[in-house]
Amino acid sequence: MVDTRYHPLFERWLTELAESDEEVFAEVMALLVALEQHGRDLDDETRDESHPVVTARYDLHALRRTPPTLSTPYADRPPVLRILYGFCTQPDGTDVAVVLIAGDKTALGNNWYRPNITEAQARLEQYTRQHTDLTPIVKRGNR
Amino acid sequence: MTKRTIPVDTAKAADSNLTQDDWEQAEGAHERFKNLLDAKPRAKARFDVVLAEINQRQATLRRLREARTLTQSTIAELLEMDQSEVSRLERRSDMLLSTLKRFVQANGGELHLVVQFPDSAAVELLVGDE
Repeated sequence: MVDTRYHPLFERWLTELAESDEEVFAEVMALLVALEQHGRDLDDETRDESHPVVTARYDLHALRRTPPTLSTPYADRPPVLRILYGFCTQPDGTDVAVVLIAGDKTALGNNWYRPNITEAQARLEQYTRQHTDLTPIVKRGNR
Repeated sequence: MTKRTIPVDTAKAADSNLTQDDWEQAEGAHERFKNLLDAKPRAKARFDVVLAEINQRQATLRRLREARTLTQSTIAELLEMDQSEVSRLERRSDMLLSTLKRFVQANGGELHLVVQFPDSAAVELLVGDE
């Protein structure tokens, strides 16, 4: 289990989603609870639900709306959601996952990532300024 | 397919002017949204299906071992192979049944292979040793 927290701007987005599309809200919640349950293991081996963001300075990852399966045959159709989250450490050495920003990359394709990674990193810094017990994890090679 | 309206988040952290209330609102939000889900039976049903699928995909041999708090080195010793071979084995999606049987046994379990047809009783196949 990993302590899973939301940046206030992500919390705002999820509140709007819960009101506008119950089904996608349910799918997003499944991803967020899977993150809470599996932590770093979620984007190991099979990268269906989550993958690392290699171009980020911090230890960022992206949750993906589940790929097409029996129960989600339309999952490759809009919205193609990506939800960026980053890991921080607490003084006792345990990880905290902070969920930062979500968006539909249907229109932009992979061009969605660059501006949103920049914003996600700014939000992670802002979050750790507010919660001074947390330190964002900088990826190896970028220290 | 119904037209979906997914909110768009273009807010910038730099000029978001978040208030103390906003920060407090975000505290414990994960638990609060889980509770909200419980109040929406249709969304909860969908959530259960999707989460079960994710968990199924996460149930790999590695997690099976970790759940027993065993290390790759311990398994390697029992199977008389290198730790790196156990690591590779755990990543494999296809292998000999005898290998799978030995892996499960090294973890202290038993492998049962059951064939189920809709119109007859289940048949258990015996998995031989190498």
